[in-house]
Amino acid sequence: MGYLAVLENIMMALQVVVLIFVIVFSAGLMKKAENGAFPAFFTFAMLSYLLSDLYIIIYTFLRPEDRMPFAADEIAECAALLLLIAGIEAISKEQRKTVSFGSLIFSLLFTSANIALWIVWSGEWVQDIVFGLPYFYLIYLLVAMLKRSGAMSETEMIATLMPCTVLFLLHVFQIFVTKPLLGSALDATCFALEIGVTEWFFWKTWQNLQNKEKESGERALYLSVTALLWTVLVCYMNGGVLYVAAVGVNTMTLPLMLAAVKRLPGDKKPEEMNPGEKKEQGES
Amino acid sequence: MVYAENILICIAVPLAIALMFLRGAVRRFDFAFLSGMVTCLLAAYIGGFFAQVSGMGAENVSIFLSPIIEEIMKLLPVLFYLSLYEPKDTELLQAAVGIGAGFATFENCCYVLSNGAQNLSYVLIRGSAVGVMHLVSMVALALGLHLLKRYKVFTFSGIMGALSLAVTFHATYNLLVSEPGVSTYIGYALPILFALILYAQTHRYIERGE
Repeated sequence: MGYLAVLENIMMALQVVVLIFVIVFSAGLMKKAENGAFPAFFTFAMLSYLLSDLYIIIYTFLRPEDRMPFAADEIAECAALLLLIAGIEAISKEQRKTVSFGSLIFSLLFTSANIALWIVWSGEWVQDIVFGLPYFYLIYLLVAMLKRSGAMSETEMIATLMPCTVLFLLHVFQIFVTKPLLGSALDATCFALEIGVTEWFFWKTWQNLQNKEKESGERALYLSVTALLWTVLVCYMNGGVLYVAAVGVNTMTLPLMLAAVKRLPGDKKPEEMNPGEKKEQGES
Repeated sequence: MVYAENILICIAVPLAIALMFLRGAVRRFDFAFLSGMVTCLLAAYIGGFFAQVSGMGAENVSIFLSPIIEEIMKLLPVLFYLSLYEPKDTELLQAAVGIGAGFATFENCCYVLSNGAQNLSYVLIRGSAVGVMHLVSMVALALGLHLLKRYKVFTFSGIMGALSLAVTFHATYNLLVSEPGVSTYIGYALPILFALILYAQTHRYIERGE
């Protein structure tokens, strides 16, 4: 096992430790039931994430020479995303009543661009398309909810979109680059841009966590889940030492999400509900 | 060569006849147990087909393909029951446990008949590891579906999320026991450990349901 594999495993083990803490705390929130439906889904999502990490670590130790085909770690990552989707669907029923076409088109373009790059890098087109589908729906949900909850203004969204477009172009350009020095320079530039966008999400989440308004918990949650998704994509976009660093950044989003989950408001009391919600509650 | 269909007939007939004399939760469990055994046979057919098509070796099939096929097959009767009969939470759990236990029992029967049952310690490990693993993955799946129902997000993404969680657990177990050594022992202990954790989490809600 090379030094990079050892480094990767150390970082993964660190993420496992962080995940165990996150799961223990979120299971506590789930039992208290003060923060609504989301902690339950979040706990299961983090459990999936933990299983994915464990699978990678076990696989690297038991079969270091074999390349994983259609493997369980990707299924577990999908499970985590799907459970986060279910959680967001549970807390945003009211705001999701109409389809946001702008978010749908953005999500389609963004996911297609990512899938195209994954196919170029891995050559596994069926797998990349299948596993791209949960990303498509989660990105749609997140963009729609970031907009509707007021977590990000239109200007901020456009400002975030610009480095994403530049990143895509740089990665496409990188495919045709043959000189190693230029390739390394491009890698470093892309990574700097990716970390810049991550920091932006971190800062916005932190701002909302500091805010005492009732809605800021929900906003912080959408922003932190976006940060998680973005850092997962950053991991896919990098190799070698940069991948290890990306996993480290990805780990940092986990406690951030937990902090946002803790700030979520609980289910409405009967006196706070409008007649429609009361009726829906009565039906259950 | 194991004649799995013949084994199924031999075990299933008394259970099927017993259905006539049973009522309530016991009948539900008996039927779920039978469904689990049939599901196991169907999963073996489908697994065999995919193994042929993909050209993977037996070990790779058990690590990469079997968990996906078996968990999808186990999910189908639970989903069928859930959408057709709208069961209560405890009823759903009982059905899931029955399917898991039936699946594990039939798989173990076929395994013991083809490999012999002379070595007691190996048979014990087989029963408490693979057998419990199928049970644990079904209980986890039922809990996931219960959660989706409770929060009214019984959507495709939610169901797939719960299914993927069960698949990953199954795949991790298969990977751990695929190589001899310490990993195998960890793999054997994993289902029992998870069964205890799940019991600690669910026993209050099972008693409340009763």
